[in-house]
Amino acid sequence: MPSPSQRPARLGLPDLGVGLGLRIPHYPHVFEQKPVCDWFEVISENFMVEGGRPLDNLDRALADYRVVQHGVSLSIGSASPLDWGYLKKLKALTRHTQTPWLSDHLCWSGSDCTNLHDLLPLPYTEEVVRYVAERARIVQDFLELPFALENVSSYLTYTSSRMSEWDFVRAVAEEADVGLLLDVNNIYVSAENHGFEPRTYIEAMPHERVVQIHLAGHTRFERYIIDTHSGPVIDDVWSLYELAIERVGPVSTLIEWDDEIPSFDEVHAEARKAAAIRARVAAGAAQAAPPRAVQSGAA
Amino acid sequence: MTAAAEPTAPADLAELQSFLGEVFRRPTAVAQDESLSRRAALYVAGNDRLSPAEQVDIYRRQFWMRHDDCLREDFPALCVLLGEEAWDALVEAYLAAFPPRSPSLRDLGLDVPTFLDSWDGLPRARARACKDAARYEVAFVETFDGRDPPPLDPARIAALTPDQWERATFVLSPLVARLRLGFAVHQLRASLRDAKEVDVERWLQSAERDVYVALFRKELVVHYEELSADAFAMLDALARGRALLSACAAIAEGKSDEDAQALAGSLGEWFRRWASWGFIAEVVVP
Ligand SMILES: [Fe+2]
Repeated sequence: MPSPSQRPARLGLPDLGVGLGLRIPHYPHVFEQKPVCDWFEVISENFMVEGGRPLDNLDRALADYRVVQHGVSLSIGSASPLDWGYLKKLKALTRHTQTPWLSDHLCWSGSDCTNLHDLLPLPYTEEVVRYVAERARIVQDFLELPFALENVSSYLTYTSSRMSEWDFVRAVAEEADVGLLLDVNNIYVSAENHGFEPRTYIEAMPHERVVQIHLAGHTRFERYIIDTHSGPVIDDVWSLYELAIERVGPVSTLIEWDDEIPSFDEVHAEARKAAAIRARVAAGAAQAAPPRAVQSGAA
Repeated sequence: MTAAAEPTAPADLAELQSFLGEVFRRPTAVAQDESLSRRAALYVAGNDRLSPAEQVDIYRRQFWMRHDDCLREDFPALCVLLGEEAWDALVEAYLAAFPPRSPSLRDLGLDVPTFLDSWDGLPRARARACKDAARYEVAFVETFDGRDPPPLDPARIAALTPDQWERATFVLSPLVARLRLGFAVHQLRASLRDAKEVDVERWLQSAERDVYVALFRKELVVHYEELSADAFAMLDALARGRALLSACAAIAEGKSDEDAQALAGSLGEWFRRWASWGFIAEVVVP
């Protein structure tokens, strides 16, 4: 395995700019007006069907836009065996979409044959790192595609955890040799719920493994925050995003908005904010860089 | 790649997931159950604002909200027929009897008709309408995103000689659901889709009759078509692999000569429409 300094940024995957999650209320606007959007993320499970309207909608998106697949049901941390029927369907869909990479969550969603359709946190232990990393390797090998795991937001912690969440995420990614989908809002939500410093988390990530970033809104209740993907991204999360871009460099960024979804333009305004932050960080980096002649002798 | 290559889960991870997988599906608050709260505290840490049981309850509530929302979306007619209280009871009992197993929420309600057959919580006066609605709404889910059969060349049907017509059997498209109902639940669902106010009590009085419906997908849209009893019987016989002549004879049995002739006269029109709606996936001439 190459050392961090030898690994290319984003594990060599392209920076697609700032995209949006493709959502049903926006279909008429997207398919008819074809608005400018760097790329769309689709939820794999919505299109793992045999035919009909969903696949037609997917093809319409593929005809005009770059599409990246994101899954919610892999359950990489489940104690039950991997679901090979699911994985075969997933692989077939990746062939259809030509997704440049594929992501799902570092979580468990069920065991003993049930599926709770949730993204449940794992206990942070060395044994779980080894177990999950081995399964992630198997999945990546089977899919024959770069695979990325996303950090989830959580509302509970386990008595059995023996390390911080960021050490756990980092260890799984390194041991599995997979990418990371860094959800900055999830870091904020978990930090508020469990009382840690979100900047420490971002600093601790293996930055060259971050192939994508998620941004979203959340909902604050009296004693905890839930990752509802509702409302705009809050200022504190934008600051964390700026830090992430400073550390990772320009990386494909995606706005998730799944509850009380407003107009396409309103969601796209969030994408423009992200693009502005990326541009500001890039300009700052260019200013801070040594003069060009010294930087490289190559033509 | 074989399952043998997969690692074995750490025993304590499996134990934790078994415990939480069960308590997340409980209908009542863990925090209100003392012994369960103590067990939850073995696995879940809690913090200065939330006890371990309260943390578990966040996920537990989400389990119910998520699956209730999904079932409401797939069963709008069943939901209004039951009313809020009976609906809540149904969701609780159904998810206990048929815990979600599929990676896709699309499959969540597929067992509702089977479940209703033995559930004693249905309001007696509405039991038939509820069962009809459940069957119809599951058929809707399956028709919506099922696989299209390979297209049948219309020339294949046009080219059949009268003799071949009589002997031919027809393979119906898997995207055609045939439903014999005691209530016109297809109309109830259509009214709800159009956001019309429905007075359920009045609807029940006006909608009870023998209804024969074909639910099918054409150009990506799911349509329903009410059929006559004879047309439905014909479609049913063809779906079971009977040749046209034998199906006609079976349906005409016991009919007056006049009715039998009318039946024969309708056949051409039925086939023309069924073919144009894509009901016929294949023609087999022995
Ligand atoms: Fe996310």
